[in-house]
Amino acid sequence: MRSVPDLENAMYQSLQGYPCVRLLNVTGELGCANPGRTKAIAPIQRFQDANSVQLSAPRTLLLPSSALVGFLKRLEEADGSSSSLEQQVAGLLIEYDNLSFPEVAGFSADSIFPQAEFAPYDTKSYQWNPTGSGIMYRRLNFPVFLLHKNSTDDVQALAAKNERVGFKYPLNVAEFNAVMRTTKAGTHTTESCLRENSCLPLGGYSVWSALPAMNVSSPTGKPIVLAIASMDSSSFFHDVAPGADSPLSGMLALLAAVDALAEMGGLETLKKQLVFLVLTGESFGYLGSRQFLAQLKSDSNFVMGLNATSIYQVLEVGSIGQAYDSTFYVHKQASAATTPTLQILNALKAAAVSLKDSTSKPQVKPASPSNPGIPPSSLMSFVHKDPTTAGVVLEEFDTIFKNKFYHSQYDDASNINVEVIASAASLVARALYMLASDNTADTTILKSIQVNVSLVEAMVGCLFHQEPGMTCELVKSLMTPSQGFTTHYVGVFQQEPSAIPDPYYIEDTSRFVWNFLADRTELNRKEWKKFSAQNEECTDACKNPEEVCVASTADHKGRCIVSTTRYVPAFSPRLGYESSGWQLLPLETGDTMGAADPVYTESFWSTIGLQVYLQESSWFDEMVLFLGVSITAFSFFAIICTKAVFQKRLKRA
Amino acid sequence: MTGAGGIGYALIALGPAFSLFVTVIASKPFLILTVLGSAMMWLVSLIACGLLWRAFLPGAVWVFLPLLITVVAIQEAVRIYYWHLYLKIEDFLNKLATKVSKQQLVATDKIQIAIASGLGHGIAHSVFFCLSLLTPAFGPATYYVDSCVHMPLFLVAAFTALGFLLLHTFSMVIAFNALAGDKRSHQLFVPVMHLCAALLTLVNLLPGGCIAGVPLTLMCAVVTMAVAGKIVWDKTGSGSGDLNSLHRVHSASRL
Repeated sequence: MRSVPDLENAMYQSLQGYPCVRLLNVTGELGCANPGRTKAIAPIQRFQDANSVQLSAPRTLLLPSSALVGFLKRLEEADGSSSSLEQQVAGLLIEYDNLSFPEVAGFSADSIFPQAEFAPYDTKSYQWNPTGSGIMYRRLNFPVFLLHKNSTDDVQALAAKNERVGFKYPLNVAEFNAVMRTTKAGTHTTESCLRENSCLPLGGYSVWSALPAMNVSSPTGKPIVLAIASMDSSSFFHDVAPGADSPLSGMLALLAAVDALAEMGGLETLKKQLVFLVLTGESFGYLGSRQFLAQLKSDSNFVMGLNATSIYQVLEVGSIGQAYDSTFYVHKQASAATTPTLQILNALKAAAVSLKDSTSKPQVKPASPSNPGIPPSSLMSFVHKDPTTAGVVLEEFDTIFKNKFYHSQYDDASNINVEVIASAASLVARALYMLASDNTADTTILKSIQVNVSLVEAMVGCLFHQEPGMTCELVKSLMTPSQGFTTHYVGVFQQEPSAIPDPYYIEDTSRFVWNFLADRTELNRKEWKKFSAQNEECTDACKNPEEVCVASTADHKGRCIVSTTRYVPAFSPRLGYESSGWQLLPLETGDTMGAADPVYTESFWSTIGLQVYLQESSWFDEMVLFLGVSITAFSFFAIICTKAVFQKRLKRA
Repeated sequence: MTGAGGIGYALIALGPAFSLFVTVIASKPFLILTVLGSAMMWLVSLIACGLLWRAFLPGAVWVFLPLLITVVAIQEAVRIYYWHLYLKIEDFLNKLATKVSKQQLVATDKIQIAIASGLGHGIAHSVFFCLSLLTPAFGPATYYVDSCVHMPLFLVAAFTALGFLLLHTFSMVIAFNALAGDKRSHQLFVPVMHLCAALLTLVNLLPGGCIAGVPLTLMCAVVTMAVAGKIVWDKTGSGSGDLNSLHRVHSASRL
């Protein structure tokens, strides 16, 4: 230590961790936060499991991740109006682990039937997600952090030191700063916090693209085959929501399928038009798909070229990354129009047949008729709007989720298989071509549609690994990411919703999807004579309004291309934006999804931090002050006495 | 350790200095200047020592031994230089007093100047060795060095600073008296005690050493105070000189 700043650094240790933050909905709050406006400080104490937790004083609990659900359940059960156990918890730290606890049980922060209130059928108790714990929806009045690997070792050592001295001061304490603006403003529902500007609605930008590019100002009127996937996930800790299997494996399959289809010529001669839609915000009330449908209804600029009546068939690619037995299940709603829905199933079957010589040999089966209906999926929004929608959801599972880590921090790259995704991509690509050709395409053409497996591998590296992360070659060639490692939590909607999307406010994942789709669906300039011969350089906008600027990065300019690739805002249709800000709109009659919509918002905060240090008991500090004052007073007294003594002595002399 | 703790430590280190300043120094402008001048001189000597030893630090533990010896030697040499400066000023002031028909410096004046000089040294020491270290003490955390689990670093620093403050203040009283009177034993007392106190702080480096090191430092201070007290007692005793040379007859002092 060379200086006072060095001393200060040695005294305080900042920890790395992922916080659980405060969300609000129309009825109240969920998530975690500091209970008031001040930091939460308490000595660290570690327990091995949920049941052994015994607190005699306010403590910062350190628990292994396997104990989180059990402990929260204990709090819930003990809850009178003020459970004494909950009151003693100043904060909760969860240790990082390599998934060493019983993997067979699995872990999911979502409920047993995720977003059951949106299901277009009555069986809301069906157990799609048996490992679901529902902790994502709990409201906790203390901060919770998931620690990084390095910080976990440090905190364990500090907790051990506290144990060794028998919790006698001075003790190692953790200081949590997770004070939420909504707590300070006293706003505890979506409506009040939006009014007081202490929160923002959840949302982002979905992306749609057409292959081949459409003339949006004068559409041909071809029936549309809409292929859907989602790019957002969730977890108890929003910063670690990889969603690799659910739902991004579907998105990867769809993007790889687009890549394969873009190589095919003659798509414009096919009977139907292919449109791809990658939604965001689906984990929070299906706000992406519902907003998309609302935009279609109001014929907004964002969806120019599309209209609700031209969408003939819908193929949703759900979780497909764990189909280790190479079987994919086709889920449909009983009310779906028979003929067009059957055509989708047949197209998928034809695609599977064309792949019977491949190494993966995928199979396609209809989902069990004992299922109550379609699994949690974006298709639910379409079914609510029109129960006869000809749509299917392609999934890796039949009657219950295969994904044991749905909506948790463990749904990462180790939870998916690249070959399986590539196999699903082939299936989807060939099925889409089949559908576009009205199921008339022959096997030779189908067999020529080849998916690039290394593309899938590259995307997995970009989206789910720390290295290379979003600084991988594939992403860097198309855009400059704002951070290296990204979470797939949707985040908040930062712009005015009717504004032209500003890439600065758009999440990396959305921007990557937009640039990827635009790049792949780029129209060959020679085919459209009304456009200039060369691709112009650009940074964000192109002179010709029918062109878009793709691959503009910090290193090089983009190029203006003809592509029908657009951003669509994604936010709850229960919200509207006025000059004064966001507002909760009145509920329309007959809007069942709107009635079920919690309308999630996220609180603002000024800073979120976590640090540890050694702290004395308050009486020690008071003793030191008392000692200092006494020494000063005593010295005053002593000097005055001495002065008096010497003055007397001098007078006498 | 919060505001209360921080203020407490600051008062431990500088409370007596503050008391001394208010009761003895503050009413006489010349004494205030003396405190400042002496503090400045002490700082200059410290800078010289720092420049000398900068190249060798941070170093092995045994480096502290030659470091302390040379630094104490330099500071004692500066004290002697300061004494000679003081003689010149004393001479000048006496001549000035004669000119304006006022009384020359008496013994109590000289003792007060000695105290002010010592206080200047002591306050400068406290500020540089303790007060700057105390800034983190106002925050919520505390700090214990590995070799001292009995008390926080800040408490050790505050007590040590208190000890040296008292030591420096009263050493100057002894030194002035000794250098004026030519009494060998008293002349040796100050540098020897200063060196002893400095070397005894090395005890703090031993594991658990602060339990002994801090009281030892304070003891050195008490011994110095006692010796200084005895000297002043003797000096102000009956038969030790003409009344007029001891203290001012009139209370109005121009010093």
